[in-house]
Amino acid sequence: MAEPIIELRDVNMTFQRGWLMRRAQLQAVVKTSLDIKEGEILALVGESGCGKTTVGKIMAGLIRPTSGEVLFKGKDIWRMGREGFQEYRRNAQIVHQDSYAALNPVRTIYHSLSAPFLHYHLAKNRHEARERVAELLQFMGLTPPEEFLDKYPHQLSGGQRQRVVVARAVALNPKLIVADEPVSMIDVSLRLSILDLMHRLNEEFGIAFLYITHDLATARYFVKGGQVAVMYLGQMVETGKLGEVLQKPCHPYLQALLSAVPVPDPKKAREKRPLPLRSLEFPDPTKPPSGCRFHPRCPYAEDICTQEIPALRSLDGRLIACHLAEKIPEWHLL
Amino acid sequence: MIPLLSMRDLVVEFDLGKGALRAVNRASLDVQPGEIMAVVGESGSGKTTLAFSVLNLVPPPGRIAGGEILFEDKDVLFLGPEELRKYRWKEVSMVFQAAQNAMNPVMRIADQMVDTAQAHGKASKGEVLEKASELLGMMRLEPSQVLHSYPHELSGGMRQRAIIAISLILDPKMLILDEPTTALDVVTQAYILDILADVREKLGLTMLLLTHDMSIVARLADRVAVMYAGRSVEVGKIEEIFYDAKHPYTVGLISAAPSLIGDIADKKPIPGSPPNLLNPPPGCPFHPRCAHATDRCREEEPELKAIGDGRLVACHNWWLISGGA
Amino acid sequence: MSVTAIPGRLYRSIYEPFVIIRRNKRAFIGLIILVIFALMATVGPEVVPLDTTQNFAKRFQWPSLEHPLGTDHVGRDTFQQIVHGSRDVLLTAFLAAIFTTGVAILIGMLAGLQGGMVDTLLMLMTNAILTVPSFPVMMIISVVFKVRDPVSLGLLLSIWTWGGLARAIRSQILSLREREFIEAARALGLSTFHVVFRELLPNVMPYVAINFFTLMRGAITASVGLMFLGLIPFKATNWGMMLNLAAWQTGAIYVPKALFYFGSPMACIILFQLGAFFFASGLDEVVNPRLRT
Repeated sequence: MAEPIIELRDVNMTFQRGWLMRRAQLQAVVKTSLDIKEGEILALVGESGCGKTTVGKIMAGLIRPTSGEVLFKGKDIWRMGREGFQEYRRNAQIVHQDSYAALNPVRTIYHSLSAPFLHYHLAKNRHEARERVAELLQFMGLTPPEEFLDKYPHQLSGGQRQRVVVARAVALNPKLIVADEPVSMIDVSLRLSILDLMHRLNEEFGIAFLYITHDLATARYFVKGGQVAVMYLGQMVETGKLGEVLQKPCHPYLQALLSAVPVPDPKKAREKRPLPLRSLEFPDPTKPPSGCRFHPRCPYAEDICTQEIPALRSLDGRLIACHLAEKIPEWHLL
Repeated sequence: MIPLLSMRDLVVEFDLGKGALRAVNRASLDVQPGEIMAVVGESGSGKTTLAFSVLNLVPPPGRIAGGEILFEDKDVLFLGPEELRKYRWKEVSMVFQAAQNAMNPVMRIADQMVDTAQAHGKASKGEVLEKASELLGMMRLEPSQVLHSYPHELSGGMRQRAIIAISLILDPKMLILDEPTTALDVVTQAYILDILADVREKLGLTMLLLTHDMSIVARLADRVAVMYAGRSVEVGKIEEIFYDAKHPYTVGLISAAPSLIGDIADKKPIPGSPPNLLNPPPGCPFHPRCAHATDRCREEEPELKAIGDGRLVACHNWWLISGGA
Repeated sequence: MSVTAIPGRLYRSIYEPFVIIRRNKRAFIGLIILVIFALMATVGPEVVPLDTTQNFAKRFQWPSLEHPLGTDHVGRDTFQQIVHGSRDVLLTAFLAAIFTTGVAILIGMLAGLQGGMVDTLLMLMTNAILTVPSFPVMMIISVVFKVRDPVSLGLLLSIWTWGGLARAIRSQILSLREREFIEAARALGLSTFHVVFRELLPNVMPYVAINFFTLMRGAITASVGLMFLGLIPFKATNWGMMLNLAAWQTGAIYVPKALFYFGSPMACIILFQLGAFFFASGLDEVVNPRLRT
């Protein structure tokens, strides 16, 4: 079994919001553990506000968690020396959702992409850097490269820009790329081409991916046989092999979610009936419910759910955080 | 059946410094009373501009440069200001994109309802509030709670439902919805789609639904009009579009929409990228990305032809195409 | 164009901007005006002689071939004085703008990047500077300290004027700091030096470049004002001094014939301001690549 490259252990992340009198604490991530193995593709799924972006940034080393460990090759990155941290840095990259904000608007594509090559002396001079950048663009499907090198980000289309962003993430040949909603701002007809590109990177270079999204359908397309982890309001609620989890979700939140996702097929779409929840509204994240954070909306909630936070435990080959997991009625997607 | 809305050869141009951009290039479609017509397209397809044209609301530097839009028997593009006031919101109203973020933050919902109604002629506050309560109930909201709230006191999903209620306050015959569920979570989205289907039944409302999401179309629409580069490229019933599409773009769009069910291997993206509307390719605008493109496609722009009852396609080789979900 | 043919730095910094300015009529006119003044300031004094002999018989003459802008109260040629004075005036304005910009960038970026106590203290200082009007302060300082040459005058004119620009730069830095491309740069492990000078600063430069000309204009106005009030004794050929002499010392305002003596420096100042304004309006497109299609 492959070794985990990055491991999050019991990570908590609390943000301070507001000022003086109105200070509130936002626990964005609650006691979460997650690991990614070499060459693995893991989908981190949840809706906006569930903490998935925060987990992604913690994994990419851009935010320091309030507590817990972030282990790279077994060592905590926040306790490493400078050299160790730099090595980790090179190996964990990020692809943002908004390709326009992810590129410096007053720098050409060449400049934005050559910066890592020149900084790490992977190219000896500007000519060599330019050649390497051109090669990279070519691999990303941006041909002929000369047409893109001296353009500014706003002169490219959304799909092209996102390819540049992916190119930049790949430049240093990292072990892991954290992709935060990489295709949600791209036209539907082009989304799969970016996902195919990322898949190629995974197959040809063994780059692991943490694919963060709220769109289960694209997660299914991208992850294929890999793992999925579902979050709700800062807590991990279910993880397992994506195919199995989607077919037969155990956690009530996931069941409700899957029953609500529409499919592009009229007959099937109209057959589906969404599972009822006790409430449509998300609770205020600064005043989360006690115990299991899903209990106010859960149709099966009992007393224990209001008192204790359920821990992730093994059940039928997957991990699930629910006190009543065995009692929840089965629900199948098809 | 006489269509409620009939659009023929609509052309809308935007005058930019370096030339005119045709956002809508001879679009045609018919909407029958009581049906939900989905207009599907990605960025640059022209669907939002098309929706604005129905209300004659195209903002400058845009202008309607040709075509006709007939609502019942009136040509909307030639209505005078007083007639327009009676037409907008009373006959056709609209829920704009991200409208839930554009509500007046300092007015309670009840006041926004009354304000809107009075701006279009209806004066009796009592009647308006009674109607508002009824509509909010249909939206599965608690009227007593929502009417007295300010927009920021409501969640995104509640605001969106309130907006839909406001758009229905004057009993319009047709409602245009522009991407009504973006920025909402999946569960709320499913709920609102359910409500829309319900409302259509209860009020006999006709809807024009603009979206790029084929899943939403599959759930709600009766008929679909597909747009590409400002043109209508295919119009038809929902089963025809999903199971027997005749335009390569429609086929491509359905293949490119990932799904929770079905074989992943059937899914693939459309190659190439959307056209530059300032300098569109000659002939059929889709030809650079089309696997079936012939020389004729590269030179001659295809006309939107009727190939069946209410079925329209703009493709030279349509009989060769067989699409399926 | 082969992949390795890098468009030379020279091409990018001079030819391309020139083409952009050329297209914008107003900016092009501004450029021409500025070039004329630049030539006047650099080459002018070498080419045009300065004849300071006084000849009362020739005082306050109208323009003629011999004296294109007429003569002053002691019969000296006005045009020669204008040309010779331009060097000091423009040099002072240029230095004042440089000093102001330098200080503003330093303080603005430091405050924006560091945050916390550093930011609070720097902003306290900036706010103090902004609250007290700059011209009266300059008046007081000019009386206390000896201001004799363009450099010290440049310093004087910049000491109280960096506040607005510093705040603007700080705001920009604060908003840019959180943007995704900065986060990506950090993820790539690029050094702080790189982030500050190669990512952040280029984003701030468009604003700075356009403000540069506004600062030059302000410096000229302030320096002329100070000279006009007699607070800074300067060479008589300096435009501000010319105005001073014209108005107070020689009663030129009362003498219709002295129109050109009084009016020439004024016209030059106005013309320069106009040129700078026009040019700066086109500069936005040059320094902000986002406006290029």
